[in-house]
Amino acid sequence: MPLSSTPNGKRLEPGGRTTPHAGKGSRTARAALSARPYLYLSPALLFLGLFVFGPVVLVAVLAFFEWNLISTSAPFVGLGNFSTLLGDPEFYRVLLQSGAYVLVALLGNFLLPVGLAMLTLQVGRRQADLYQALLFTPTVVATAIGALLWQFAYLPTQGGPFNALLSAFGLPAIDWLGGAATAVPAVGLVAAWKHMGFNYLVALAGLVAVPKDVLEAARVDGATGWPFVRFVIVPLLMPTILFLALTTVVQALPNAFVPIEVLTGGGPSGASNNLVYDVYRNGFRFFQIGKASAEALLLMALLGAVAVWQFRVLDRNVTYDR
Amino acid sequence: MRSTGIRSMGAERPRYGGGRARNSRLPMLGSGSLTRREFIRRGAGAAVVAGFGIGGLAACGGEERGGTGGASQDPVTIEYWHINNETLGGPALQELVGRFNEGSRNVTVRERFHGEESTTSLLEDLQTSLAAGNEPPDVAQIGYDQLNYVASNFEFVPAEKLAQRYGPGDYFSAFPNNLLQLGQADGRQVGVPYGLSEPILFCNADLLSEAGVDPDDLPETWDGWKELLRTAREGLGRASMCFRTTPGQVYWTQAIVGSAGGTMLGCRDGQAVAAFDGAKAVGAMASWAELFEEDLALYLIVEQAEQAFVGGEAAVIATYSSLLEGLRGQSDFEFRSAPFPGFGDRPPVLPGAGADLFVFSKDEARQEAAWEWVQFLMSPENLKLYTEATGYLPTRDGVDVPTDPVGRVPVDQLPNVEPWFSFPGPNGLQAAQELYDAQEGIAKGQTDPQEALERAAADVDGLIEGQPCL
Repeated sequence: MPLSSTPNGKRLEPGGRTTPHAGKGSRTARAALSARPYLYLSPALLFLGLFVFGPVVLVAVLAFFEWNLISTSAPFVGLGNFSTLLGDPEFYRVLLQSGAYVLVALLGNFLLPVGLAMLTLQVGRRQADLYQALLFTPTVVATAIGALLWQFAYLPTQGGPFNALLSAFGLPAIDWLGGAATAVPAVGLVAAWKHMGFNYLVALAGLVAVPKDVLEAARVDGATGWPFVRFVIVPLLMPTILFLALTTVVQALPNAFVPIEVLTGGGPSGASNNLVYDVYRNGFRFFQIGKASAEALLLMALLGAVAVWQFRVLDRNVTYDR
Repeated sequence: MRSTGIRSMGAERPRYGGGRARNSRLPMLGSGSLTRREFIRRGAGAAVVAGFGIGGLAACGGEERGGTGGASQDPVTIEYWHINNETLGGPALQELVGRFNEGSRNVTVRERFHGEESTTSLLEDLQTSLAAGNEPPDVAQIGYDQLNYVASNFEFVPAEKLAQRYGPGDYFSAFPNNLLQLGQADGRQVGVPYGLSEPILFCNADLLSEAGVDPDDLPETWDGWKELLRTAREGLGRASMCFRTTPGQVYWTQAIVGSAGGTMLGCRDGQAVAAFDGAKAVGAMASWAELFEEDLALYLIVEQAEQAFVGGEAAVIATYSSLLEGLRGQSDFEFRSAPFPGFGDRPPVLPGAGADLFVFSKDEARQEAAWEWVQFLMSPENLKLYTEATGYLPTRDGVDVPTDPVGRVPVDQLPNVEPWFSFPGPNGLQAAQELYDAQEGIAKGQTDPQEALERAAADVDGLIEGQPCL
């Protein structure tokens, strides 16, 4: 049956109306028709409700209770979990470290892949295929396995590959994962390595889709070098840039979760902890579900605010109609 | 091989064995396999935890298991949660399960791996599973460092009660006193200590010789080791010892503080308070910190430490005895073991690592079946199989133990083993993390030992406030 027909065979007018002489039967048909979109949406809505919105609501409820998952009593503590978190200097330290993870991710999962994608367009087809394969490889490696490989690379002795390199230049060995200043960049680099390949392909796809005639016109007008990139390529790539920037910021902390767990456990002395890992630790290591829920809500609000801000700032420069 | 002690097992001959399983016995699911129904139930349970996390909804879970108990002669299927993967005694456990199920007339054990070699992960799984409304496993391995937390937060059946109820009454007489304490909390025998690992030093004799040190004349005190390591540093041009550390676990602090005569927890006005910031404890940790300050030793997490040792970077690794065979197998040098050092004439304190067997069954028939399984696992011949497969030491008398020079060292250290320390109360696990952070800061030279321990003590006092003295 064509979509423009009602179940009883009457023609459907634009806007979902049927012909004026419709009686009781056609009202039923109209109701059925108007319910149809919701029927189509229901699997997705059910899934989202069960696994996204439902949990968010319940986390919001749990944030006001003190519960350890097994206790039969869960006393209501009001805003107690929030005030505990916000009154703890450790929370702000973790917040700052989370910011550092986002910066590392922006470098490694946004600027670098976009830059590499631009460079890839400058080489021949065969080399481009090779670079694509090489750069995408880490994406298909299990994060935990990759992290273990990096753990070896970060060995703080002279035998560690990075330190052997430093030693060749007469520089002292560095305790990459054990140093308070180096732990976040070291762990963040592993997360960036793992996820860079995907963003690189997205950026490359965006660049390939840039209309050739516009580029040719710009070149005819004498645009070359950085001005060509800044004033021609970047504006045309803006929808892709917006997508990559948003997802990089939102995913920066969860992407670092496995590397933190494998490489440092949040150490040394909490120096490589971030908010996502801290939520997990509070919830499933210390079994403080209320506190973890409160922290998760704060994290969600923070990421939401950053995403909205980012969207507003970047979206001004997006031209969707090429 | 030799025995750890007197064989006094006659009175506790387990009641399994003899005769094949009856046809009426419920079929055992293969390891790790799930029926579709169970899969759906478990999936729903997981969704509750992941999404809803609410106790009220949790009641919709409820795992179905064979056998309802009620009468002890009815078939019963019990579930056993463990951390024994393929490289940590998994095949031996499969063999034990097979033997038990073949020999038991009405009890079937279904084993479930949880925890990726770590009792921390098993505890996470246990707690989330209970939150999802599932029945607890009948028997589970609970880490010695989680003993107090589990004893004060979970419903379980204390081992002493099971021994009283189902016998034999003198069951625990086969355990050395210091090892029996590994399963004690609140003055009760709550779990059965099952396998033990203890701090030890493993050495690369070739590298020590290359560094100008005699590997046949190793010291037994920290002062002696410092001298040796200074010599080795001159010879090799680098730190030649490494401490293998596990994030979140404070066994090094306990070993160092305890060996110097300090204590981890004190008692004030009937309440537990941190005591690891006392003078002896601070002095011991400051002395330990000198190893790192002078570039004599490195403080490395698990895999890095093992890599540094087997790769020939570090001549000595301070680690746990259960790794003996694993490290020896990867070594292409002369592998030695040496006792964990002490301070002066005091014998060292060695926090025992491993797990207790805890019984969580709710109804009596299952409790009886669970106790039968525990006794089976703890019988000398079965414990021997398990310890040989895992590298753990037996916790009871009557079990053959290694007698070779390398394997004998951990056995000789057994009298120095003490319970792995754990903080009491619902925040006990977080308190351990606070102390671990202090330990790490000290080892990494990021914090002064006194300042770090005092700060950690203040934090821990807040977290265990109101808890009775241990």
